[in-house]
Amino acid sequence: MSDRTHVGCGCQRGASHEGAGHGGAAVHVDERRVNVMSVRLRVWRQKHAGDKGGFVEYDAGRLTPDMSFLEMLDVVNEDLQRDGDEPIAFDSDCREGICGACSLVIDGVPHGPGQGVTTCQVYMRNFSDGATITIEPWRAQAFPVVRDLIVDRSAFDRIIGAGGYNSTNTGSATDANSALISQAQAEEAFDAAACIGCGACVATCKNASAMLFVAAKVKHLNILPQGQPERRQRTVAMLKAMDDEGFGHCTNEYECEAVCPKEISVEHIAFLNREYLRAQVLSSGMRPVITEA
Amino acid sequence: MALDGHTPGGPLAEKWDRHRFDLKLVNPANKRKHTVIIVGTGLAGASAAATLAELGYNVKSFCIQDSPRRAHSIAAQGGINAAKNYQNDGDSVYRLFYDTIKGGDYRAREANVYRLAQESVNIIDQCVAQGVPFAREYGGTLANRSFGGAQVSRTFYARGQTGQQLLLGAYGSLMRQVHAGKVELYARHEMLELVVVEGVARGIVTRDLTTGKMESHVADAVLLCTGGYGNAFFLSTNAKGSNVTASWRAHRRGAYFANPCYTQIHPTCIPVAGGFQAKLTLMSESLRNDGRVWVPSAPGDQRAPEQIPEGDRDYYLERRYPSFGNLVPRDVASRAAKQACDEGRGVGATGRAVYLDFADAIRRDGESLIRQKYGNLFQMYEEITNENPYKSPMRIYPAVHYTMGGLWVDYNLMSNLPGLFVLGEANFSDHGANRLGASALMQGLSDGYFVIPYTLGGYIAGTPLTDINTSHPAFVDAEKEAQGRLDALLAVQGKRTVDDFHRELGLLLWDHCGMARTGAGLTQALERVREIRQQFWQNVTVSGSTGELNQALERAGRVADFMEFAETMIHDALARDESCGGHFREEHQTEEGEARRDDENFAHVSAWEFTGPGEKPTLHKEALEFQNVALTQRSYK
Amino acid sequence: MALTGLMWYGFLVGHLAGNLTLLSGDSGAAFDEYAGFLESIPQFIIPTELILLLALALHVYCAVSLSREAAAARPIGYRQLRSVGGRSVASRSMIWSGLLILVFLGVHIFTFKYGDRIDGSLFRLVQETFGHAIWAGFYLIVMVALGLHLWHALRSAFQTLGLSARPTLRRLSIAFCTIIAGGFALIPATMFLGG
Repeated sequence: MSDRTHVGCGCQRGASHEGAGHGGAAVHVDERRVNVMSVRLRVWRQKHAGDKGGFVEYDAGRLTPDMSFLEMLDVVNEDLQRDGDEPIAFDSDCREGICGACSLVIDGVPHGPGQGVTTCQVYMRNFSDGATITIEPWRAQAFPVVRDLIVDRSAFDRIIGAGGYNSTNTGSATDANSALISQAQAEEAFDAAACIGCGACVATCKNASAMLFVAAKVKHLNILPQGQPERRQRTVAMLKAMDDEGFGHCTNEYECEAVCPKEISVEHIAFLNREYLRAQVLSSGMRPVITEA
Repeated sequence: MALDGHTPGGPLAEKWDRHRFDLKLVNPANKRKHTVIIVGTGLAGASAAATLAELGYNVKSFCIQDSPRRAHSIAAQGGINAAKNYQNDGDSVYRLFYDTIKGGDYRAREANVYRLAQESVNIIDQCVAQGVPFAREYGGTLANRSFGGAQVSRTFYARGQTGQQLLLGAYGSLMRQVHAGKVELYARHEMLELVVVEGVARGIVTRDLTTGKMESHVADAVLLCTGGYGNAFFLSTNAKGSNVTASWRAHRRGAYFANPCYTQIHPTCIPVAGGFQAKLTLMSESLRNDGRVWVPSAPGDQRAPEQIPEGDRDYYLERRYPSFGNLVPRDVASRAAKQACDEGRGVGATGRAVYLDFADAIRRDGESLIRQKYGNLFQMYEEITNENPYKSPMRIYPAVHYTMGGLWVDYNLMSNLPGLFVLGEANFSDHGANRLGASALMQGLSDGYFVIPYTLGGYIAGTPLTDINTSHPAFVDAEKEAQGRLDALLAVQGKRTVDDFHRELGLLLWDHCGMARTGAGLTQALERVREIRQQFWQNVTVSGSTGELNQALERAGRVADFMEFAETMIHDALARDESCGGHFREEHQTEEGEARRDDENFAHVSAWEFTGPGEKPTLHKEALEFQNVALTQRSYK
Repeated sequence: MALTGLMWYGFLVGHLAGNLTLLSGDSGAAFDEYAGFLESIPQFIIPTELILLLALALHVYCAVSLSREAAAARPIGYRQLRSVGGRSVASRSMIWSGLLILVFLGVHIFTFKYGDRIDGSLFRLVQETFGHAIWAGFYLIVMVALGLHLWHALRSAFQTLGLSARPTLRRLSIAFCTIIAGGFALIPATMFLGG
């Protein structure tokens, strides 16, 4: 890895239109009240998929603890652009922890410090003034780097395409209240369905396994009455798709659960394993004999 | 020129049925001969793509995100309305229709809104079949809650993540069709031009955001499902990537832009903290069910909230609107907050915030029940502000959230350009001048699942199209134009960043075309927008090249379009010399400070035709006729 | 992995139960009798040994292919990857503890199954061996590795077989592997000290 040092990115937030927030000219955040902090960033830069890539260091100053981590990167990027340099590419969209786009490994932990948060929900108050912060992209064969900190997670879409749905064409549904679902069951399905597909589980797993992602989807659909017709097929097809995409196997270390921003439980993986065994047994001819009266 | 919305005849309740019967059908075997382009994969786009592919059409689906599942619909929190009347509390299709028309301050088309209310019930059925884990009652039936401005419980919800769950349902259906080969998916692709051949929309030009490659795509019809333009204000609750580019590019090719001045300012957002801020975060409106909004009675009261006794507090929503109290519609609540802050009674470091207080609710129901209801929202608030809302009241302030305006469409959701359909937030059709809570998800899915499959068929069956391919001059020219614009942005090589310009534009719009507007302020803003736009093209800096993944370039293109769009928005706000819904002209208010409509002169849709950048667009009007509801002054007292 | 591992688990339980007769304090009478009994039923012992050998081969094969797949699934590693969750000493050292146990197995069989018995008594051979500090120490170290291996193995097997990842089962795994590894470790420890 070639470590080039790019110091001197002083992050001057100098433009005259900053400082005043939204809400009219009357609004003015008193800059003296704001705690100023600075950090050194060690960032993975890679121009494109075929590029070798390496770490580059940046000094980011005049930050405040109330900034989000991504706002800090925005500030760094604006300075880079003012100097005519190319900004650090990273994915983010909703900036409120639900779209699943943001995806940085911060100091060795996907989504950085804090439990149950995405990268965009990490704040600078989690870091000490003067800290050196290492930022890397998700690393997995199935998530190739596109540029800098952006990776291609379309493998997840293809896994969903293999079976992550109920095959109900529009218009063919029965009345919504025709199948009763207990509160507990709906809650359980929701707990699994809360997955945002960010891929942190893969990023942290030493085997780069996508089991937690697949398990969450299978659990969500397989426990609901509407999901029963495709239960077996879905389980087998999604697991096969996962293997085909080049994700590793689960060796039950549960790191995935610890970094999951939605705190999806590894219990779902046990469920998935159970569903898989069940599907294998049922499809191997050992199904119960149904006699018609 | 007067515009025709092509509303079908007959009694209101029968219009959609009759129309569906009158529409021509495409033979099932022939559907596979037609290609449909769908831009955007939010609720409207994903539901349309899945449904049209199920019917047999060949679909090409485009999104700028890395996955269709990340479209901004995913962030919708509160819920989705439907006239199921499962609660037996007096709801009906007609009541949902009525509430929506009234909530929109009588600036929406009756027939569209009625159809929306009719289809609402089918949406819930469809979503439940897909496995959407809606909240349930103990008996296993679906639960409902009442939501901003409604007096019946008709909102279906999945914790505070309804949009996510609905979108995952639609996305699953979409991915099923991708897997089946009926949908070709183009993620990380941005539409940069609409291609119009002989007056008919026939395709688009896109840029592959990974490689920078320009591509042309031909189709029999183009569906824009690209969301709203709230990010014109820079700070909004929209995702960072949300933009007006697809709509604006279509507008430049001839599609009319309707009611661009109608923007929704959501009352319960986390206030701005500093100049570095990238976006604002919405707190679900459901908080207003238990939280009480107040400010100190006296201006400049600097005491901590706990030290302000009851007698020195002004629960202004409860005081001004005794029957709706804290549950008044969004526009009313937002404006009231602004007034309180304008009077110097705002709280927090910036003075632009009001309290949302749960102390009474916690005393009444206990902290555990409040935690159960709003735990995730309270946690989110604490993560962002580093303050514990169980102990001290939240501080909230309105923020741009949704845009009711959009490309003009007729009853078939087709724009004035044949072959160009616009769905979801991107069109203007169903919410009038103000959208009610939990109605956006309903409209996106209604358009995609249940309207477009019929009206698109009617168009395709009734419109003979010539066979063309991407070597047609219209495509070649459009590609050249799109490339030229990118090259021009890179060539400026100025000093200021794209975000810097965007921030300046946003602040200007917020101050003069936000919660309250005046003729003088708008005129001044119009001037200023032009200056900012000129400076942008003289002094913006965009690094990198076009032939690579270049996020600065992507943003520059979008902000360039916002710069042009902003002018049209201000023109519209100036031309609409009345107050209605989210559009509040200070010149037109009642003595109590409420919006005063002018139905005699402004009961119309304003649809603007592009005449050139910096030129005043041409106004076309579609008269709004109300045959079923009486126009009254909205009152929530 | 889980199935073959569980077969060995079964063996270990039996092996421990039998070997605890070493500690019965009767100068090895019970143990030698037990060994003699096992040798008298080759029709049972030989197939068992073959099955265990096969299971071991499969277990090692699975371990190797899992490691290879893991390496292939992440060809470019992190500069820094920190554990914040369930990764434990046991789980991260499975491959090393496994290799150590494999080596041990060879040594162990060579020493006791094929070793020269003293006066025909296996007990005396064991006593003699564990009288040496090096041997006793080696066994104790291996038993620690075995304990770690069994700990992650059992809770992992529960999960793989779809039972559960619940704390109760995790705790049960710890208790169980402590008993087994501790039980085995007791033998060299006691015999060395008593020795």
